[in-house]
Amino acid sequence: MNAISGNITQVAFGKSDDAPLTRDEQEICEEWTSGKASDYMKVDAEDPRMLEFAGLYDKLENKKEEVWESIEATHAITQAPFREIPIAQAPTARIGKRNRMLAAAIITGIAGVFALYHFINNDQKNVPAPNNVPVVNNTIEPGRERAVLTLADNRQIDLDNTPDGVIAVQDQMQISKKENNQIVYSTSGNQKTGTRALNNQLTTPYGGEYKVTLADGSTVWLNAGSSLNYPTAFTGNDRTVEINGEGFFEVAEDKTKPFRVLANGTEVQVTGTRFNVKAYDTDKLVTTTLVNGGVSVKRGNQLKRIKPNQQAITSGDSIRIRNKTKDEMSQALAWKNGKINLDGESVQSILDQIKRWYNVKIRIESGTPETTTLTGTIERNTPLETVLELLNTNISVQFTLQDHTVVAKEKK
Amino acid sequence: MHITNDLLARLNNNEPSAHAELFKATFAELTVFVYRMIENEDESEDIAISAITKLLGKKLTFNAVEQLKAYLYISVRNGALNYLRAAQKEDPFKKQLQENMPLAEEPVINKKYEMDHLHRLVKAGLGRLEKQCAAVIRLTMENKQPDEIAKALNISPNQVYTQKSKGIKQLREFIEENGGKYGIPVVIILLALLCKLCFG
Repeated sequence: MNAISGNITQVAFGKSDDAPLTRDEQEICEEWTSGKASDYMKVDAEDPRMLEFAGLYDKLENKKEEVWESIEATHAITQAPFREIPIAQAPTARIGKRNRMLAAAIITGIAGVFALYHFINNDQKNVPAPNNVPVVNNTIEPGRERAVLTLADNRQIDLDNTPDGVIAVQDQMQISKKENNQIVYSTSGNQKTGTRALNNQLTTPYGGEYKVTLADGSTVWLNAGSSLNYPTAFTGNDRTVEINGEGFFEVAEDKTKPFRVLANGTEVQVTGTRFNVKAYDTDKLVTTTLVNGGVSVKRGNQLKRIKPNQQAITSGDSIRIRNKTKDEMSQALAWKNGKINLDGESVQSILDQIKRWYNVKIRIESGTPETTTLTGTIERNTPLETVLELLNTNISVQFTLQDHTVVAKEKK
Repeated sequence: MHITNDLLARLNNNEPSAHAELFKATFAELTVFVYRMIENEDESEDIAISAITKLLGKKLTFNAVEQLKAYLYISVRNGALNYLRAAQKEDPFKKQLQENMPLAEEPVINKKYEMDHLHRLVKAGLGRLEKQCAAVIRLTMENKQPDEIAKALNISPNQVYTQKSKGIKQLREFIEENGGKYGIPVVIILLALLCKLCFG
């Protein structure tokens, strides 16, 4: 046991052949040759955590097949068999797993998908329990900037087919479409005070997003499958808009006129600030995430104030407030930065994001685990097939596309 | 961790089927080893996976099974220590060894087991426990909290505690009595060592 060839220890430490070992590394080698190592290797039956270790071992034994498959799949994508995976150096950063995802994300092009497809197909001959390969029929493209504007007189304008420039004038307010796919409200003449402002609605379909600058200069990014109701001008004592779905607000400061967002019975009050409101009907929750400034969240007769990096979740008549880390904040705002978030999302919420952005139906088969081991984000401009390939690098849930429905089921 | 000489030979020949086999033979054991040091399941898996895939990628050849094991343990231990250093935590093994120093002269041979061996012993021992007791232990192994277990089995939290300590005690007795069984017979280990001395 004493003879460990030098080359092997160098490789174990990830060093080149002639690099000398550090003191710590020498110590580790010494452990192995002196017998200390075999002491570490073994677990004492009297160890208070013996059951915990046995339980973990059990779990790992049960999932090792899947882990191996996902390792093989990743290496097939990168087309470099068993490239080293760097080990995380920082305790909080999950670099190991993330790198597997990232490697996949970067290199998966047409070639990558092709390679993976072939790899799995070839492999089916040897593997006793083959996975279903997502069958690619036709490409489903990601969403893009598109929306429908409904004017006060119920006239609808499909912003997708409208050239840039002034698209309507209502009550002295000029509505124009700008080149970077947004609409802007601005006064075209002397605003008559006291007149009732007219209501407009901006609606994004599934697979669409849009940006609007309101009469007071506040900007709202509207996520897919959402709608925003707002007046063409804010003439009253406050600025009230109503949202269904998800939007990111950058509210222009005006202390004399509080800005209110109504969302499914929850009211968010602000003066000037940046925050995200998520209020899809399917969620049955309204989630307000504050980036900076200060907002109050009101539900029934409850009113709570949140600070930056906090999130208020209203459901029923309760408002819960949670502190969010920097990572969790960027997860909550991933959509606005053009990303699909996977970190900490359930299978349901990953599918919800896909449904809204790719305009597909979704189905979860019974027995599917509620969560996955997936971490990181996927760019929203990725074609759906590639997204599914990336999702399938996880070990517990299989995502397949059947006609226009993304189906999640347990990996066997 | 059970690696046969046949597997080693096929690994040295770089046969793909041996890659999967090596992974499956070592993954759980190495991960638990790292987990005992760093207490982070995901990181532990990553460190173990990295050690194994690195070996497969480098196409190393080993003269003996013990060398292969040495490589794997040296590699994951290094990974775990790097992690601990970054987290500014201490190496728990070092501490444990110091604590055990005065006792080191007593023969404690029969109480320590490699994880795959211990796992088999626990599984076998579970079969000997009463039904409810075994259920409590199983759920404890799945990392369930006592109140969750009480709810799942519809018993009081107090019962969970008594059943748990009873179960652990019986399991330990079982392990002590049967420690020699369920493992790789000592003869084989000695033979392997002998072979290595002669041919390695």
